[in-house]
Amino acid sequence: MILQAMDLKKYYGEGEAQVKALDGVSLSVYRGEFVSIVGTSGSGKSTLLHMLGGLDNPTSGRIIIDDKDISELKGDALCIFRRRKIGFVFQSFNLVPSLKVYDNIILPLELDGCKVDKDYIGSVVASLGIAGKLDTYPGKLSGGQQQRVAIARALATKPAILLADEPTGNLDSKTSQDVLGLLKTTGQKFKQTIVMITHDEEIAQMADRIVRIEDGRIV
Amino acid sequence: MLNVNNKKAIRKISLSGITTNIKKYVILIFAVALTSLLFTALFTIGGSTVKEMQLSTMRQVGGSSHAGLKYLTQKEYDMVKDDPAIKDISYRITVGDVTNKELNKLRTEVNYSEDENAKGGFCYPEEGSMPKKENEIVTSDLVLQKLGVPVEVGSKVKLSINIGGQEITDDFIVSGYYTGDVINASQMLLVSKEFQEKYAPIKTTILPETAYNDYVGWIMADFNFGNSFGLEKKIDGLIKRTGIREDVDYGINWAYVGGSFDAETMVLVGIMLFTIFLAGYLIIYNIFYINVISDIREYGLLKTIGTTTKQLKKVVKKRARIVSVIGIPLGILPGIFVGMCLLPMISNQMNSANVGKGQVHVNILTILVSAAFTYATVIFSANRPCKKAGSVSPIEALRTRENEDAGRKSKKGRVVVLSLSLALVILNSVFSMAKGFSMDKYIEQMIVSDYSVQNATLDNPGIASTDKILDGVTTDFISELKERPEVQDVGNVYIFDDYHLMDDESWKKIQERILSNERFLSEINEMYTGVNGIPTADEYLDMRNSEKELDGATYGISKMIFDKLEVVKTADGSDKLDWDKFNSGNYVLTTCCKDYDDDICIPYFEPGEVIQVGSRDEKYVTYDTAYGMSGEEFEIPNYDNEPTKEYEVYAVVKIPYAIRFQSFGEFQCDYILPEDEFLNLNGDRNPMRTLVDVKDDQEVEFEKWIDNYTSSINPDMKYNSKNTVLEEYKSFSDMLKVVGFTLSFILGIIGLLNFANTMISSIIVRARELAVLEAVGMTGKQQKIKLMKEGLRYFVWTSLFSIVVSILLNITAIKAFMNGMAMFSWQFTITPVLICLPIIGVLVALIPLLVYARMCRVSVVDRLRVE
Amino acid sequence: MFGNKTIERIEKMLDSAMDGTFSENDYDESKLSRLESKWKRYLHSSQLAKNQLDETKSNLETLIADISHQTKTPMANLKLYSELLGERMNNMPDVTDEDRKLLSQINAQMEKMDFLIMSLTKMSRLESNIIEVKPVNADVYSFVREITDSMQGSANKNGITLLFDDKDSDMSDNANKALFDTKWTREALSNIIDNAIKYSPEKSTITVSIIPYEMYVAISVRDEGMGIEEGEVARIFDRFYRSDENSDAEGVGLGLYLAREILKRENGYIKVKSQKNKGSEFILYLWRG
Repeated sequence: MILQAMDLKKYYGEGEAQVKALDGVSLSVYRGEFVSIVGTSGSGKSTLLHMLGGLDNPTSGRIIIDDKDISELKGDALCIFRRRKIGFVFQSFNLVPSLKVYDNIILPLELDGCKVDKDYIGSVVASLGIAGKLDTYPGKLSGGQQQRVAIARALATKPAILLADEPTGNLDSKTSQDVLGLLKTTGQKFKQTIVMITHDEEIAQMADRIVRIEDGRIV
Repeated sequence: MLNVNNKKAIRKISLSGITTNIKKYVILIFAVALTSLLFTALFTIGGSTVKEMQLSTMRQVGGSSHAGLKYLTQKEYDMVKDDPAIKDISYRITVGDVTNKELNKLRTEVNYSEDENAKGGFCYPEEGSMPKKENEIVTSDLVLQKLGVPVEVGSKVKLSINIGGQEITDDFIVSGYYTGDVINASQMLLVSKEFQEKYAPIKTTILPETAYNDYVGWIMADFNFGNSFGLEKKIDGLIKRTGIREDVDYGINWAYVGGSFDAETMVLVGIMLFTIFLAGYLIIYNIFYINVISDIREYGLLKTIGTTTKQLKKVVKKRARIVSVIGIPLGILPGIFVGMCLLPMISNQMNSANVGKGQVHVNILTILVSAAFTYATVIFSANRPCKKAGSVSPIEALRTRENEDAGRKSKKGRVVVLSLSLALVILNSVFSMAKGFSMDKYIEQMIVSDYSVQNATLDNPGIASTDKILDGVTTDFISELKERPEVQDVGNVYIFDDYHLMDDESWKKIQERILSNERFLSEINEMYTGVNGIPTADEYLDMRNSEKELDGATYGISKMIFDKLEVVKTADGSDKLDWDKFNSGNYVLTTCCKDYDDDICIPYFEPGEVIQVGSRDEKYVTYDTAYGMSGEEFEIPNYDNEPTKEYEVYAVVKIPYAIRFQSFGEFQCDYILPEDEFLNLNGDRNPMRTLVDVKDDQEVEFEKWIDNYTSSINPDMKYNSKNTVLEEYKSFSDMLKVVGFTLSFILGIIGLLNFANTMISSIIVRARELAVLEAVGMTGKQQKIKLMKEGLRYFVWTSLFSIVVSILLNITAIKAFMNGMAMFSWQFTITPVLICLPIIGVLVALIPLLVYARMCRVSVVDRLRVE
Repeated sequence: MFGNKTIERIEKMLDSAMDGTFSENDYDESKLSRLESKWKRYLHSSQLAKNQLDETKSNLETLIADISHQTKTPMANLKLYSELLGERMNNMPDVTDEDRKLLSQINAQMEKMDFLIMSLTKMSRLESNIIEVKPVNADVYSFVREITDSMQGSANKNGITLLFDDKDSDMSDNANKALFDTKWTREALSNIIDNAIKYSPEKSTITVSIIPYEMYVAISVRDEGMGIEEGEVARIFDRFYRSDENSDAEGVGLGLYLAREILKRENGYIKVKSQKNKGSEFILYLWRG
């Protein structure tokens, strides 16, 4: 088991106005699995993903990633954990516009002062079909290409888990298919565990396992 | 701990963020360059002024070497000359003095000098060469002029030289000459080695064992150390190390001993530094902060992929450094240029010797210090933006951040309001000072007649008061002046400036009125602290009481001057004085203690009291021997044996600044006698000053004559005219205006830049919001009005703030400052703020429109799409 | 604290361990050397465990191969005997319809067994990488054309129209080029078309078409069959999965599993879209490379 969430709760506000974004979610993800979490907007799926990625703290509950309880980590330690163990792919790509594609991809490695494993990066880039774009800036790329760069960046550190937040939300259906396919196949190829959230049933079908979330609970 | 090395990543992010967003950073670089410009200009002016002062001190002292050892034998010289601490050393050998009558007032030393020593002593021949043959000499053009010899190589000159009491008179040939300096204590006449060896061989016995009064044949060594810090210590070390006798005479060049700036200047420089720092801070901080805010998504994104708070701070700091590296050099050259333009105006106002004023000295230090100050400003300004970037929450950065931005508005707004107001407040202050600078008051202070003629040294603040010539108006001049048809009225001022010995009765009054006055006691307590060899206040008072002396001058004045005195107190209470009564020879006028302070006047003597005035007739003078700072011996006249005469105090008066000797002793108890009585009492003497009033329509001719007279007939004399004072006034108020308005202008630009930047970023940040508004039907016109209103909010705050602060400052600090200075008369002013505000108002309304127009080039749909 | 060099050495040790080239450097008194020895021992033991695992796997592999091989002759013999029995039954006067039915049952089950053994063999070979999938750059259009042509017969037999819809196909040069192993991909595509034929009602149409993507060339197989229950979609690719509803149809539940495995090995994937009672669409995404 690579990821285990136990009885996660996230409440906003108090009393009458209290919103239960997550209300006791437990989830296990196994190594190499591709899990999709499906839910409508407001179902708490984004909150769940943010918690799993250590971007946000739960009101209660525990998250264990790669045998480490991340609720114990704070501030920069959490940041460094994220850098080494978690790869993110966001709906809005979130590439650094001022860095070239290649620099974007290896940025998490450089932040960690690692030597870049050129062969590995080379093969990731080749599988994602962006080998020819490494020397350009993200702004010059199509949405699909940008998202592929984001996937490459997420894979660069060989993270324990790759978290994708509506990765095709900003893409047309045809490009979405490409990106999802690549997410799936590169995940298979590099034996990567993937957790993806989406509101789209069809996209969720790409995964090995589908988890449904409604009103902050898994159904 | 061994940390992973991520410098490369930080550098890459920092650099690429700038290169791809160059537009955003250009404005920041511009701001840094502006700050660098201001600092460089200030340091160019400051540095050049210090350097000029140093140079002029050097010229006064007569050398540029760090220090010197005096009265050495060859053996002693050899002991020190190879010391490793000494960078270079050279010497001259004392021979004697020139005793030609023409040089009575131009002390001229005779020396043999090594080439290097002559260069360091500013007496290396500019024309011709150093003396080689026995009858060859080098001296200054001033000496040659005095001697009436043509200033050229090969001139023959007959000289009498006193060599240790023995006088030699011979013909010499000028082998070279240099340009002499009036402010130099003594002129040099260099002789050949041959001459020196013949008449003044180097001493073989050390000074303490040599017969007294023999200053011939000594080696005077001048040398430089590696640097000029802590010269006293260095020279002590040198003496100990080399084993030369402990009581050797040494001198340290004053030019290298700091403290050439007075407290007032330091405060001024401090204020300028702070203002520039503040201005730089305001703009750099604001732009930087806005840059960080508009890049906040990027920072948040970096954080989600694992960039730590520390690393983000490093990124921002690194960007600050990159911006500095580009911006600072850009500002340095223009800064030097601005400094060069302002320097002449400013240095004319400085109380320094008038040598090489306005000369620009730029060295690497100026540039480094300016760069360092700018850099410090940038780094300081980047501090909060750094924290901001570091504290970004990754979640928030992922969301749209419209609500988050609302909180920032007030803070950004404060910076804008503050920087705009600062410019206005400074402008207003400068304006009220320039306006309040009263010409009449100033001129009244500076001159009481059309013309004032005196020796050139008299009113030159760069010359020590003991070196000033107090009887510089020659009889020749006075007789020629009488011939001038343009002259309407002439008045002379005579002076002896030393001390007054009191009889017991008078001294008792002084003790009562002055020495036991609380104000003076507190002043004395402050000054006589009993440390560093200074006596304690009690010791000082004891000394005074035993000596019964107060420093002060005896003036002699003509009727014209008499009429210009300010009456403080008379026996009958009237403020009119009668010349004939005064001129009878039985009366004296006395002054107030500390009468140069405006607000207090405590008379030494009351009208009607009788005092003794001592004669200064040369017949009765005896001399005491004293030793100067560098061990040289000089004589102090002692008038204790002079006869005294009794006078009745007619009135207590104040002598206008323009008439008096502009140097003050501790008490400055002055007695004033009528001209004839003065000469009667003291014997013949030339006036210190002669004041001339000229017939109204004949000023041009007179000016022509007097200008010619003081430049070619007697260059030792100098005249001030109302016109020169007018010019001085003009240049002073010009400086005030130029410096003040330049500063206000730059600050104004900074304020507007801040405003523009704030508006731009606020519009960019809300581009989507505006697009949404447009989509739901808000017209362009409505949007523009919305933006203009926002700009006007800044304007309203700025108006309120600047008006209130300007008024407060005007009626407090500026009023106090101007009332404290004689040449100002304070008036309430707020006009500049009121005039500038509408202009700013227009700009403030216009800038948002321009920015909006720019934004509109992108279609609504595209703007809507941007998250 | 560690010196920088030591850290670098340790990093290098780990790196070489990860790609399996670790060997001890020097033997000396240093702690580093001791660490190296321990590290080696650890690697050795974990290597041992891995080897054991591999061995078990290969034993299993051999076993399956043996089973499949060894069952071939008996199977063939069984078939032969059953045919012989059938012929003899034709000549027997007292054979009842009941008897014939039993014989045909035997034949059917034998067919099924044969297919099962064949599929298992393929699967085991595929899984243990005995047979490598070797993707080459090939033209998907001609590939699909050939397969649909060859399967016309089988479709017609079931009263089903098999249509290769190339109206919208992009025939430009590289539009239909992808990286795939023709032999194995044929297996996958045939399996899927076969399934479609099997589960489609008579007179319905199966439409095959090609959809080019930037990264993939997709082959879509759309039928008008009964479709798949939403909850089942993820499970149809499981080994031996068979829907409860069509348990009576022939098949062993390995075809889709095989197809998915084959495409995975070509860096492609399969996706299903289905609506109950309206039909299903299987899309095979072949990676362009």
